[in-house]
Amino acid sequence: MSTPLLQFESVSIQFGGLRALDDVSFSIHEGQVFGIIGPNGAGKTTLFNVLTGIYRPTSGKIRFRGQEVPYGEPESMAHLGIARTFQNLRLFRELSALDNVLIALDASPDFPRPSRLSAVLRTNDYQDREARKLERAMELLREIGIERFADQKTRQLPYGVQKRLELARALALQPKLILLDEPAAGLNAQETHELLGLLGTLREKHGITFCLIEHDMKLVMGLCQPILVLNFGKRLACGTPAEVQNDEEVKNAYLGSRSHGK
Amino acid sequence: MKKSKSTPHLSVIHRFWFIPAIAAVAGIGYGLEAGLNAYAMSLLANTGISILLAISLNWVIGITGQFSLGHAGLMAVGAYTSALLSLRLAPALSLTGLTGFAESAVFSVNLLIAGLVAAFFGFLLGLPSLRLKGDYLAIVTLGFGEVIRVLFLNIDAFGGARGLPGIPNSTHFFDVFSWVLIAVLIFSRILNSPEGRALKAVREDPIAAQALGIELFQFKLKAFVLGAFFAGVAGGLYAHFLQYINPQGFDFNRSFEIMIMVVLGGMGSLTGSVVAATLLTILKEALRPLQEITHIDFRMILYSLALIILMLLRPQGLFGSKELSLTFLKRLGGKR
Repeated sequence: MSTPLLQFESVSIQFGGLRALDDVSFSIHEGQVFGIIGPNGAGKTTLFNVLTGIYRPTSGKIRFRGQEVPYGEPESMAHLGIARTFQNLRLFRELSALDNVLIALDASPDFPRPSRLSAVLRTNDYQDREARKLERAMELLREIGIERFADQKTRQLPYGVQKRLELARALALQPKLILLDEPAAGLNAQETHELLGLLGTLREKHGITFCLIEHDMKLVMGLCQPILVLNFGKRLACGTPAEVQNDEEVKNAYLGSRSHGK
Repeated sequence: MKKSKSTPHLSVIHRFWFIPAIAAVAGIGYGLEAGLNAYAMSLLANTGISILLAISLNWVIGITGQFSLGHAGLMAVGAYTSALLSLRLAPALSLTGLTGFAESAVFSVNLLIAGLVAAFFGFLLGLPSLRLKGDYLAIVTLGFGEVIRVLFLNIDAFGGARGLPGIPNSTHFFDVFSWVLIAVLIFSRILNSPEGRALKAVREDPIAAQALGIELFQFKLKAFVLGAFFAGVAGGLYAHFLQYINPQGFDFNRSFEIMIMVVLGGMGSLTGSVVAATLLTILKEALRPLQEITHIDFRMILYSLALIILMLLRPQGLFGSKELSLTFLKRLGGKR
Protein backbone atom coordinates (compact mmCIF):
# COMPACT_ATOMS: atom_id res chain seq x y z
CA MET A 1 0.00 0.00 0.00
CA SER A 2 1.08 3.60 -0.49
CA THR A 3 2.32 5.77 2.37
CA PRO A 4 -0.47 6.29 4.85
CA LEU A 5 -1.83 9.80 5.22
CA LEU A 6 -1.41 9.67 8.95
CA GLN A 7 0.63 7.29 11.05
CA PHE A 8 0.77 6.80 14.79
CA GLU A 9 3.92 4.92 15.77
CA SER A 10 3.64 3.54 19.30
CA VAL A 11 2.52 6.86 20.74
CA SER A 12 2.32 7.14 24.51
CA ILE A 13 1.44 10.07 26.69
CA GLN A 14 1.86 10.23 30.42
CA PHE A 15 0.10 12.65 32.78
CA GLY A 16 1.75 12.17 36.16
CA GLY A 17 0.82 8.63 37.15
CA LEU A 18 -1.76 8.22 34.41
CA ARG A 19 -0.84 6.70 31.12
CA ALA A 20 -3.55 8.28 28.98
CA LEU A 21 -2.27 6.72 25.78
CA ASP A 22 -0.26 3.54 25.93
CA ASP A 23 1.77 2.47 22.92
CA VAL A 24 -0.93 3.22 20.36
CA SER A 25 -0.18 2.53 16.71
CA PHE A 26 -2.43 2.81 13.70
CA SER A 27 -2.51 4.43 10.31
CA ILE A 28 -5.11 6.27 8.32
CA HIS A 29 -5.08 5.98 4.54
CA GLU A 30 -6.31 8.50 2.06
CA GLY A 31 -10.04 8.39 1.43
CA GLN A 32 -10.91 6.52 4.59
CA VAL A 33 -13.45 7.50 7.17
CA PHE A 34 -11.57 6.41 10.22
CA GLY A 35 -13.59 5.93 13.40
CA ILE A 36 -12.27 6.01 16.95
CA ILE A 37 -14.49 4.60 19.67
CA GLY A 38 -14.09 3.54 23.25
CA PRO A 39 -15.79 3.86 26.62
CA ASN A 40 -15.50 7.08 28.62
CA GLY A 41 -11.93 7.77 29.71
CA ALA A 42 -10.51 5.48 27.06
CA GLY A 43 -8.18 8.16 25.76
CA LYS A 44 -10.12 9.24 22.68
CA THR A 45 -9.97 12.92 23.43
CA THR A 46 -6.33 12.71 24.48
CA LEU A 47 -5.59 11.08 21.15
CA PHE A 48 -7.39 13.91 19.41
CA ASN A 49 -5.48 16.51 21.36
CA VAL A 50 -2.19 14.92 20.41
CA LEU A 51 -3.30 14.83 16.82
CA THR A 52 -4.29 18.50 16.80
CA GLY A 53 -1.04 19.64 18.34
CA ILE A 54 -2.36 20.51 21.79
CA TYR A 55 -0.45 17.78 23.66
CA ARG A 56 3.06 16.57 23.04
CA PRO A 57 3.41 12.78 23.19
CA THR A 58 5.76 11.41 25.86
CA SER A 59 7.12 8.91 23.39
CA GLY A 60 6.40 7.70 19.89
CA LYS A 61 6.02 9.49 16.60
CA ILE A 62 3.22 10.86 14.49
CA ARG A 63 3.76 11.16 10.79
CA PHE A 64 1.55 13.07 8.41
CA ARG A 65 2.17 12.27 4.75
CA GLY A 66 5.42 10.63 5.76
CA GLN A 67 6.79 13.55 7.76
CA GLU A 68 6.91 13.85 11.50
CA VAL A 69 4.56 16.56 12.70
CA PRO A 70 5.63 19.43 14.98
CA TYR A 71 4.19 18.99 18.46
CA GLY A 72 2.62 21.64 20.64
CA GLU A 73 1.83 23.95 17.72
CA PRO A 74 -1.85 23.78 16.78
CA GLU A 75 -1.29 26.48 14.13
CA SER A 76 1.18 24.32 12.28
CA MET A 77 -1.26 21.43 12.07
CA ALA A 78 -3.67 23.64 10.15
CA HIS A 79 -0.89 24.68 7.76
CA LEU A 80 0.03 21.02 7.22
CA GLY A 81 -3.49 20.25 6.11
CA ILE A 82 -5.25 18.95 9.21
CA ALA A 83 -8.49 20.72 10.09
CA ARG A 84 -10.81 19.92 12.93
CA THR A 85 -14.21 20.52 14.43
CA PHE A 86 -14.88 20.70 18.14
CA GLN A 87 -17.07 18.67 20.45
CA ASN A 88 -18.73 21.73 21.96
CA LEU A 89 -18.73 23.96 18.88
CA ARG A 90 -16.12 26.66 18.78
CA LEU A 91 -17.44 29.14 16.28
CA PHE A 92 -16.72 32.86 16.33
CA ARG A 93 -20.09 33.59 17.85
CA GLU A 94 -20.29 37.35 17.45
CA LEU A 95 -19.30 37.19 13.80
CA SER A 96 -21.44 36.29 10.81
CA ALA A 97 -21.47 32.79 9.32
CA LEU A 98 -19.75 34.23 6.27
CA ASP A 99 -16.96 35.75 8.37
CA ASN A 100 -16.38 32.41 10.05
CA VAL A 101 -15.70 30.82 6.69
CA LEU A 102 -13.69 33.81 5.45
CA ILE A 103 -11.36 33.60 8.44
CA ALA A 104 -10.56 30.02 7.52
CA LEU A 105 -10.10 30.94 3.84
CA ASP A 106 -7.67 33.68 4.89
CA ALA A 107 -5.48 30.93 6.29
CA SER A 108 -5.90 28.49 3.40
CA PRO A 109 -3.00 27.86 1.02
CA ASP A 110 -4.97 29.31 -1.92
CA PHE A 111 -5.04 32.77 -0.40
CA PRO A 112 -1.70 33.97 0.96
CA ARG A 113 -2.11 36.73 3.53
CA PRO A 114 -1.92 40.16 1.91
CA SER A 115 0.50 42.76 3.23
CA ARG A 116 -0.83 45.44 5.54
CA LEU A 117 0.04 48.07 2.98
CA SER A 118 -2.01 46.46 0.21
CA ALA A 119 -4.92 46.15 2.65
CA VAL A 120 -4.70 49.82 3.63
CA LEU A 121 -4.33 51.02 0.04
CA ARG A 122 -6.91 48.56 -1.26
CA THR A 123 -4.85 47.73 -4.33
CA ASN A 124 -6.64 46.17 -7.31
CA ASP A 125 -4.82 42.93 -6.71
CA TYR A 126 -6.01 42.91 -3.12
CA GLN A 127 -9.58 43.64 -4.16
CA ASP A 128 -9.55 40.84 -6.75
CA ARG A 129 -8.30 38.37 -4.21
CA GLU A 130 -10.87 39.39 -1.63
CA ALA A 131 -13.63 39.15 -4.23
CA ARG A 132 -12.55 35.63 -5.16
CA LYS A 133 -12.43 34.74 -1.50
CA LEU A 134 -15.95 35.97 -0.98
CA GLU A 135 -17.14 33.95 -3.95
CA ARG A 136 -15.47 30.82 -2.62
CA ALA A 137 -16.96 31.36 0.83
CA MET A 138 -20.45 31.60 -0.61
CA GLU A 139 -19.84 28.46 -2.65
CA LEU A 140 -18.83 26.59 0.46
CA LEU A 141 -21.87 27.75 2.39
CA ARG A 142 -24.04 26.73 -0.55
CA GLU A 143 -22.44 23.31 -0.67
CA ILE A 144 -23.11 22.74 3.01
CA GLY A 145 -26.62 24.05 2.51
CA ILE A 146 -26.53 27.07 4.82
CA GLU A 147 -26.12 29.83 2.27
CA ARG A 148 -29.16 31.72 3.45
CA PHE A 149 -27.64 32.19 6.92
CA ALA A 150 -24.49 33.86 5.55
CA ASP A 151 -25.07 37.31 7.04
CA GLN A 152 -26.50 36.22 10.38
CA LYS A 153 -24.57 36.31 13.60
CA THR A 154 -23.42 32.81 14.38
CA ARG A 155 -24.80 32.69 17.89
CA GLN A 156 -28.31 33.25 16.54
CA LEU A 157 -28.20 30.21 14.29
CA PRO A 158 -29.92 26.89 15.10
CA TYR A 159 -27.64 24.24 16.54
CA GLY A 160 -27.74 22.02 13.47
CA VAL A 161 -26.73 24.93 11.25
CA GLN A 162 -23.87 25.78 13.57
CA LYS A 163 -22.61 22.21 13.33
CA ARG A 164 -22.65 22.44 9.57
CA LEU A 165 -20.97 25.81 9.65
CA GLU A 166 -18.11 24.38 11.65
CA LEU A 167 -17.70 21.75 8.97
CA ALA A 168 -17.73 24.42 6.26
CA ARG A 169 -15.09 26.33 8.16
CA ALA A 170 -12.89 23.25 8.37
CA LEU A 171 -13.39 22.60 4.65
CA ALA A 172 -12.36 26.15 3.82
CA LEU A 173 -8.84 25.38 5.00
CA GLN A 174 -8.63 22.89 2.13
CA PRO A 175 -7.32 20.18 4.41
CA LYS A 176 -6.28 16.65 3.51
CA LEU A 177 -7.68 15.35 6.75
CA ILE A 178 -10.59 16.57 8.83
CA LEU A 179 -10.88 15.49 12.44
CA LEU A 180 -14.42 15.40 13.72
CA ASP A 181 -14.91 15.41 17.47
CA GLU A 182 -18.33 13.84 18.08
CA PRO A 183 -19.98 15.26 14.97
CA ALA A 184 -23.40 13.83 15.85
CA ALA A 185 -23.51 15.00 19.46
CA GLY A 186 -26.70 16.91 20.12
CA LEU A 187 -28.23 16.12 16.75
CA ASN A 188 -31.53 14.25 16.36
CA ALA A 189 -31.92 11.15 14.20
CA GLN A 190 -32.96 13.14 11.16
CA GLU A 191 -30.04 15.57 11.46
CA THR A 192 -27.59 12.74 12.03
CA HIS A 193 -28.85 11.07 8.89
CA GLU A 194 -28.35 14.29 6.92
CA LEU A 195 -24.86 14.66 8.33
CA LEU A 196 -24.00 11.15 7.15
CA GLY A 197 -25.10 12.04 3.65
CA LEU A 198 -23.12 15.26 3.74
CA LEU A 199 -19.92 13.57 4.88
CA GLY A 200 -20.26 11.01 2.10
CA THR A 201 -20.69 13.71 -0.52
CA LEU A 202 -17.74 15.69 0.76
CA ARG A 203 -15.51 12.65 0.76
CA GLU A 204 -16.35 11.85 -2.83
CA LYS A 205 -16.21 15.38 -4.12
CA HIS A 206 -13.16 16.76 -2.33
CA GLY A 207 -11.27 13.56 -1.69
CA ILE A 208 -11.00 14.44 1.97
CA THR A 209 -10.13 11.85 4.56
CA PHE A 210 -12.07 11.94 7.80
CA CYS A 211 -11.19 10.78 11.26
CA LEU A 212 -13.93 10.91 13.84
CA ILE A 213 -14.61 10.20 17.47
CA GLU A 214 -18.18 9.32 18.10
CA HIS A 215 -20.45 7.81 20.73
CA ASP A 216 -23.28 7.15 18.30
CA MET A 217 -22.58 3.49 17.49
CA LYS A 218 -25.05 3.35 14.65
CA LEU A 219 -23.26 6.23 12.95
CA VAL A 220 -19.82 4.79 13.50
CA MET A 221 -20.73 1.29 12.32
CA GLY A 222 -22.56 2.63 9.29
CA LEU A 223 -19.96 5.17 8.21
CA CYS A 224 -16.50 4.26 9.39
CA GLN A 225 -14.01 1.82 8.11
CA PRO A 226 -11.73 0.95 9.74
CA ILE A 227 -12.60 1.49 13.38
CA LEU A 228 -10.10 1.80 16.19
CA VAL A 229 -11.25 0.77 19.65
CA LEU A 230 -9.44 2.23 22.65
CA ASN A 231 -9.74 1.31 26.32
CA PHE A 232 -7.66 2.64 29.22
CA GLY A 233 -5.33 4.25 26.70
CA LYS A 234 -4.60 0.97 24.93
CA ARG A 235 -5.51 -0.16 21.46
CA LEU A 236 -8.01 -2.98 21.83
CA ALA A 237 -8.83 -3.62 18.23
CA CYS A 238 -8.71 -2.06 14.82
CA GLY A 239 -10.60 -3.33 11.82
CA THR A 240 -13.86 -3.38 9.90
CA PRO A 241 -17.11 -2.84 11.80
CA ALA A 242 -17.84 -6.54 11.70
CA GLU A 243 -14.43 -7.47 13.02
CA VAL A 244 -14.62 -4.97 15.81
CA GLN A 245 -18.13 -6.00 16.83
CA ASN A 246 -17.11 -9.62 17.13
CA ASP A 247 -13.90 -8.96 19.03
CA GLU A 248 -14.00 -10.54 22.48
CA GLU A 249 -11.96 -7.83 24.18
CA VAL A 250 -14.17 -5.13 22.72
CA LYS A 251 -17.27 -6.86 23.99
CA ASN A 252 -15.72 -7.11 27.43
CA ALA A 253 -14.76 -3.45 27.46
CA TYR A 254 -18.25 -2.31 26.57
CA LEU A 255 -20.34 -4.87 28.38
CA GLY A 256 -17.99 -5.66 31.25
CA SER A 257 -16.66 -9.07 32.16
CA ARG A 258 -15.71 -11.02 35.22
CA SER A 259 -12.05 -10.68 34.43
CA HIS A 260 -12.32 -6.88 34.64
CA GLY A 261 -9.18 -5.27 35.98
CA LYS A 262 -7.00 -8.28 35.38
CA MET B 1 -2.62 34.38 -10.38
CA LYS B 2 -5.46 33.81 -12.78
CA LYS B 3 -8.51 36.00 -12.83
CA SER B 4 -11.71 34.04 -13.28
CA LYS B 5 -13.74 37.11 -14.07
CA SER B 6 -13.08 40.75 -13.64
CA THR B 7 -14.70 42.06 -10.51
CA PRO B 8 -15.66 45.72 -10.27
CA HIS B 9 -13.06 47.63 -8.31
CA LEU B 10 -13.70 50.36 -5.82
CA SER B 11 -14.08 53.78 -7.34
CA VAL B 12 -11.07 56.08 -7.13
CA ILE B 13 -12.89 58.29 -4.63
CA HIS B 14 -13.74 55.31 -2.46
CA ARG B 15 -10.14 54.17 -2.47
CA PHE B 16 -8.45 57.52 -1.99
CA TRP B 17 -11.02 59.51 -0.01
CA PHE B 18 -8.36 60.34 2.55
CA ILE B 19 -6.40 62.60 0.18
CA PRO B 20 -9.15 65.18 -0.36
CA ALA B 21 -10.13 64.64 3.29
CA ILE B 22 -6.69 65.67 4.52
CA ALA B 23 -6.74 68.66 2.21
CA ALA B 24 -10.14 69.56 3.61
CA VAL B 25 -8.79 69.28 7.15
CA ALA B 26 -6.04 71.72 6.21
CA GLY B 27 -8.60 74.14 4.79
CA ILE B 28 -10.98 73.82 7.73
CA GLY B 29 -8.08 74.23 10.15
CA TYR B 30 -7.00 77.40 8.42
CA GLY B 31 -10.51 78.79 8.48
CA LEU B 32 -11.19 77.86 12.10
CA GLU B 33 -7.93 79.27 13.33
CA ALA B 34 -8.95 82.61 11.90
CA GLY B 35 -12.56 82.44 13.10
CA LEU B 36 -12.61 80.63 16.45
CA ASN B 37 -11.16 81.70 19.76
CA ALA B 38 -8.26 79.91 21.39
CA TYR B 39 -10.51 78.10 23.86
CA ALA B 40 -12.59 76.48 21.14
CA MET B 41 -9.48 75.51 19.22
CA SER B 42 -7.97 73.89 22.29
CA LEU B 43 -11.19 71.97 22.88
CA LEU B 44 -11.02 70.66 19.34
CA ALA B 45 -7.38 69.63 19.69
CA ASN B 46 -8.19 67.90 22.96
CA THR B 47 -11.02 66.01 21.29
CA GLY B 48 -8.78 64.85 18.46
CA ILE B 49 -6.11 63.60 20.85
CA SER B 50 -8.77 61.72 22.84
CA ILE B 51 -10.05 60.14 19.64
CA LEU B 52 -6.56 58.92 18.76
CA LEU B 53 -6.08 57.43 22.21
CA ALA B 54 -9.49 55.78 22.34
CA ILE B 55 -9.37 54.31 18.87
CA SER B 56 -5.88 52.87 19.38
CA LEU B 57 -6.79 51.35 22.75
CA ASN B 58 -9.96 49.91 21.26
CA TRP B 59 -7.83 48.18 18.66
CA VAL B 60 -6.11 46.28 21.45
CA ILE B 61 -9.02 45.78 23.85
CA GLY B 62 -12.12 45.77 21.70
CA ILE B 63 -10.95 44.23 18.45
CA THR B 64 -8.19 41.90 19.61
CA GLY B 65 -9.66 41.28 23.06
CA GLN B 66 -6.44 41.89 25.00
CA PHE B 67 -7.18 43.78 28.19
CA SER B 68 -4.36 46.31 28.39
CA LEU B 69 -4.10 49.03 31.02
CA GLY B 70 -0.75 50.39 29.88
CA HIS B 71 -1.96 52.89 27.34
CA ALA B 72 -0.95 55.94 29.40
CA GLY B 73 2.57 54.53 29.66
CA LEU B 74 2.85 54.20 25.90
CA MET B 75 1.41 57.67 25.49
CA ALA B 76 4.05 58.97 27.93
CA VAL B 77 6.83 57.37 25.90
CA GLY B 78 5.53 59.18 22.81
CA ALA B 79 5.08 62.48 24.68
CA TYR B 80 8.58 62.49 26.17
CA THR B 81 10.22 61.37 22.93
CA SER B 82 8.44 64.06 20.99
CA ALA B 83 9.11 66.76 23.59
CA LEU B 84 12.80 65.91 23.85
CA LEU B 85 13.12 65.95 20.07
CA SER B 86 11.69 69.46 20.01
CA LEU B 87 13.64 70.71 23.04
CA ARG B 88 17.03 69.10 22.41
CA LEU B 89 17.35 67.97 18.82
CA ALA B 90 15.44 70.69 16.95
CA PRO B 91 17.60 73.59 18.26
CA ALA B 92 20.74 71.64 17.37
CA LEU B 93 19.46 71.26 13.82
CA SER B 94 18.23 74.89 13.91
CA LEU B 95 14.68 73.73 13.21
CA THR B 96 13.02 76.10 15.67
CA GLY B 97 10.73 79.02 15.11
CA LEU B 98 9.22 77.53 11.96
CA THR B 99 5.69 78.37 10.92
CA GLY B 100 3.05 77.12 8.52
CA PHE B 101 3.87 74.23 6.25
CA ALA B 102 7.49 73.86 7.35
CA GLU B 103 6.41 73.62 10.98
CA SER B 104 3.82 70.95 10.20
CA ALA B 105 6.26 68.94 8.12
CA VAL B 106 8.93 68.92 10.83
CA PHE B 107 6.32 68.16 13.46
CA SER B 108 4.97 65.23 11.42
CA VAL B 109 8.42 63.69 11.32
CA ASN B 110 8.77 64.32 15.03
CA LEU B 111 5.44 62.55 15.69
CA LEU B 112 6.35 59.68 13.41
CA ILE B 113 9.50 59.09 15.47
CA ALA B 114 7.53 59.42 18.72
CA GLY B 115 5.06 56.84 17.40
CA LEU B 116 7.82 54.46 16.35
CA VAL B 117 9.55 54.69 19.72
CA ALA B 118 6.24 54.02 21.48
CA ALA B 119 5.62 51.12 19.10
CA PHE B 120 9.02 49.71 20.01
CA PHE B 121 8.14 49.95 23.71
CA GLY B 122 4.83 48.30 22.90
CA PHE B 123 6.76 45.50 21.25
CA LEU B 124 9.01 45.11 24.31
CA LEU B 125 5.99 45.09 26.62
CA GLY B 126 4.01 42.74 24.40
CA LEU B 127 6.78 40.21 23.99
CA PRO B 128 6.49 38.75 27.48
CA SER B 129 3.02 39.89 28.49
CA LEU B 130 0.85 38.89 25.54
CA ARG B 131 1.36 35.26 26.46
CA LEU B 132 -0.82 36.04 29.46
CA LYS B 133 -4.58 36.21 29.43
CA GLY B 134 -7.27 38.46 30.85
CA ASP B 135 -6.59 39.72 34.38
CA TYR B 136 -2.94 38.75 34.28
CA LEU B 137 -2.32 40.80 31.18
CA ALA B 138 -4.17 43.73 32.74
CA ILE B 139 -1.95 43.62 35.83
CA VAL B 140 1.29 43.41 33.86
CA THR B 141 0.35 46.28 31.55
CA LEU B 142 -0.82 48.37 34.49
CA GLY B 143 2.55 47.73 36.11
CA PHE B 144 4.34 48.70 32.93
CA GLY B 145 2.50 52.02 32.82
CA GLU B 146 3.53 52.79 36.39
CA VAL B 147 7.15 51.75 35.79
CA ILE B 148 7.35 54.15 32.87
CA ARG B 149 5.88 56.97 34.91
CA VAL B 150 8.23 56.36 37.84
CA LEU B 151 11.20 56.22 35.47
CA PHE B 152 10.37 59.63 34.05
CA LEU B 153 9.80 60.89 37.58
CA ASN B 154 13.24 59.85 38.75
CA ILE B 155 15.50 60.52 35.81
CA ASP B 156 16.79 64.06 35.74
CA ALA B 157 17.41 64.09 32.01
CA PHE B 158 13.64 63.77 31.61
CA GLY B 159 12.95 66.65 33.95
CA GLY B 160 12.08 64.50 36.96
CA ALA B 161 9.04 65.64 38.93
CA ARG B 162 9.34 69.15 37.50
CA GLY B 163 8.55 67.79 34.05
CA LEU B 164 9.52 69.33 30.74
CA PRO B 165 8.42 72.96 30.27
CA GLY B 166 8.75 75.16 27.24
CA ILE B 167 7.70 72.72 24.56
CA PRO B 168 6.87 74.67 21.38
CA ASN B 169 3.23 75.12 20.54
CA SER B 170 3.19 73.06 17.37
CA THR B 171 -0.09 71.16 17.76
CA HIS B 172 -2.57 72.81 15.45
CA PHE B 173 -5.93 71.68 14.16
CA PHE B 174 -4.39 70.30 10.99
CA ASP B 175 -1.79 68.19 12.81
CA VAL B 176 -4.32 66.62 15.15
CA PHE B 177 -6.99 65.83 12.64
CA SER B 178 -4.76 64.69 9.82
CA TRP B 179 -3.40 62.08 12.26
CA VAL B 180 -6.93 61.20 13.32
CA LEU B 181 -7.80 60.67 9.66
CA ILE B 182 -4.73 58.52 9.09
CA ALA B 183 -5.54 56.45 12.16
CA VAL B 184 -9.16 55.98 11.12
CA LEU B 185 -8.06 55.02 7.62
CA ILE B 186 -5.50 52.47 8.76
CA PHE B 187 -7.59 50.93 11.52
CA SER B 188 -10.79 50.67 9.51
CA ARG B 189 -9.11 49.19 6.46
CA ILE B 190 -7.13 46.65 8.43
CA LEU B 191 -10.28 45.82 10.37
CA ASN B 192 -11.99 44.81 7.12
CA SER B 193 -9.04 42.82 5.86
CA PRO B 194 -7.83 39.29 6.59
CA GLU B 195 -5.73 40.64 9.45
CA GLY B 196 -8.72 42.34 11.09
CA ARG B 197 -10.81 39.19 10.75
CA ALA B 198 -8.01 37.17 12.30
CA LEU B 199 -7.86 39.58 15.25
CA LYS B 200 -11.58 39.24 15.80
CA ALA B 201 -11.18 35.46 15.64
CA VAL B 202 -8.48 35.68 18.31
CA ARG B 203 -10.89 37.67 20.48
CA GLU B 204 -13.86 35.37 19.93
CA ASP B 205 -12.16 32.02 20.42
CA PRO B 206 -8.38 31.69 20.57
CA ILE B 207 -8.42 27.90 20.46
CA ALA B 208 -10.52 27.79 17.32
CA ALA B 209 -8.41 30.54 15.79
CA GLN B 210 -5.31 28.48 16.40
CA ALA B 211 -6.91 25.44 14.83
CA LEU B 212 -7.43 27.56 11.72
CA GLY B 213 -3.73 28.32 11.51
CA ILE B 214 -3.80 31.79 13.07
CA GLU B 215 -0.60 32.35 15.04
CA LEU B 216 -2.14 33.84 18.18
CA PHE B 217 0.92 35.48 19.64
CA GLN B 218 2.11 36.99 16.40
CA PHE B 219 -1.25 38.57 15.64
CA LYS B 220 -1.72 39.88 19.16
CA LEU B 221 1.74 41.42 19.11
CA LYS B 222 1.16 43.11 15.76
CA ALA B 223 -2.10 44.58 17.01
CA PHE B 224 -0.48 45.75 20.21
CA VAL B 225 2.39 47.45 18.38
CA LEU B 226 0.00 49.25 16.03
CA GLY B 227 -2.04 50.49 18.99
CA ALA B 228 1.15 51.62 20.75
CA PHE B 229 2.24 53.57 17.68
CA PHE B 230 -0.86 55.74 17.69
CA ALA B 231 -0.75 56.13 21.47
CA GLY B 232 2.76 57.53 21.00
CA VAL B 233 1.60 59.92 18.28
CA ALA B 234 -1.21 61.08 20.55
CA GLY B 235 1.35 61.61 23.32
CA GLY B 236 3.46 63.80 21.05
CA LEU B 237 0.45 65.86 20.03
CA TYR B 238 -0.51 66.19 23.68
CA ALA B 239 2.96 67.41 24.68
CA HIS B 240 3.00 70.09 21.99
CA PHE B 241 -0.55 71.05 22.82
CA LEU B 242 -0.06 71.61 26.58
CA GLN B 243 3.53 72.80 26.01
CA TYR B 244 4.38 71.23 29.34
CA ILE B 245 4.43 67.60 30.44
CA ASN B 246 5.14 65.94 33.73
CA PRO B 247 4.86 62.33 34.88
CA GLN B 248 1.61 62.93 36.78
CA GLY B 249 -0.14 63.49 33.47
CA PHE B 250 0.39 59.84 32.57
CA ASP B 251 -0.67 57.97 35.69
CA PHE B 252 -3.16 55.12 35.59
CA ASN B 253 -6.08 57.54 35.82
CA ARG B 254 -5.24 58.48 32.27
CA SER B 255 -5.40 54.83 31.20
CA PHE B 256 -8.79 54.48 32.87
CA GLU B 257 -10.05 57.65 31.22
CA ILE B 258 -9.20 56.21 27.81
CA MET B 259 -10.69 52.88 28.83
CA ILE B 260 -13.96 54.61 29.77
CA MET B 261 -14.17 56.10 26.27
CA VAL B 262 -13.64 52.68 24.72
CA VAL B 263 -16.24 50.96 26.90
CA LEU B 264 -18.74 53.77 26.48
CA GLY B 265 -18.40 53.82 22.71
CA GLY B 266 -18.66 50.06 22.49
CA MET B 267 -15.81 47.58 22.62
CA GLY B 268 -14.88 46.62 19.12
CA SER B 269 -16.54 49.60 17.44
CA LEU B 270 -14.09 52.14 16.04
CA THR B 271 -16.99 54.47 15.30
CA GLY B 272 -18.06 54.17 18.91
CA SER B 273 -14.61 55.18 20.14
CA VAL B 274 -14.61 58.28 17.97
CA VAL B 275 -18.07 59.30 19.12
CA ALA B 276 -17.47 58.54 22.80
CA ALA B 277 -14.12 60.34 22.87
CA THR B 278 -15.77 63.39 21.33
CA LEU B 279 -18.80 63.33 23.62
CA LEU B 280 -16.84 62.85 26.82
CA THR B 281 -14.28 65.53 26.04
CA ILE B 282 -17.02 68.01 25.24
CA LEU B 283 -19.21 66.93 28.17
CA LYS B 284 -16.40 67.61 30.63
CA GLU B 285 -16.03 71.12 29.27
CA ALA B 286 -19.73 71.75 28.90
CA LEU B 287 -20.19 71.14 32.63
CA ARG B 288 -17.62 73.77 33.51
CA PRO B 289 -20.00 76.79 33.61
CA LEU B 290 -22.12 74.92 36.15
CA GLN B 291 -19.18 75.01 38.51
CA GLU B 292 -18.72 78.70 38.00
CA ILE B 293 -22.37 79.45 38.71
CA THR B 294 -22.79 77.26 41.79
CA HIS B 295 -19.21 77.51 43.09
CA ILE B 296 -19.42 73.78 43.85
CA ASP B 297 -17.47 71.21 41.87
CA PHE B 298 -20.45 69.38 40.42
CA ARG B 299 -18.54 68.66 37.29
CA MET B 300 -17.00 65.31 38.14
CA ILE B 301 -20.13 64.18 39.98
CA LEU B 302 -22.32 64.82 36.95
CA TYR B 303 -19.72 63.33 34.65
CA SER B 304 -19.66 60.15 36.71
CA LEU B 305 -23.45 60.08 36.92
CA ALA B 306 -23.69 60.40 33.15
CA LEU B 307 -21.36 57.41 32.81
CA ILE B 308 -23.38 55.30 35.25
CA ILE B 309 -26.66 56.12 33.52
CA LEU B 310 -25.25 55.35 30.10
CA MET B 311 -23.86 52.04 31.27
CA LEU B 312 -27.20 51.10 32.79
CA LEU B 313 -29.09 52.00 29.63
CA ARG B 314 -26.60 50.63 27.13
CA PRO B 315 -24.20 48.17 28.76
CA GLN B 316 -22.80 47.18 25.37
CA GLY B 317 -21.75 50.79 24.76
CA LEU B 318 -23.23 53.36 22.40
CA PHE B 319 -22.44 51.39 19.27
CA GLY B 320 -22.01 47.84 20.55
CA SER B 321 -19.68 46.33 18.00
CA LYS B 322 -21.34 48.02 15.02
CA GLU B 323 -19.58 50.36 12.67
CA LEU B 324 -20.94 53.32 10.82
CA SER B 325 -19.73 53.00 7.25
CA LEU B 326 -20.87 53.81 3.75
CA THR B 327 -22.07 50.26 3.11
CA PHE B 328 -23.90 50.26 6.44
CA LEU B 329 -25.67 53.50 5.55
CA LYS B 330 -26.53 52.12 2.12
CA ARG B 331 -27.99 49.01 3.71
CA LEU B 332 -30.08 51.15 6.04
CA GLY B 333 -31.38 53.06 3.05
CA GLY B 334 -31.60 50.15 0.63
CA LYS B 335 -33.42 47.37 2.44
CA ARG B 336 -36.87 48.13 3.83
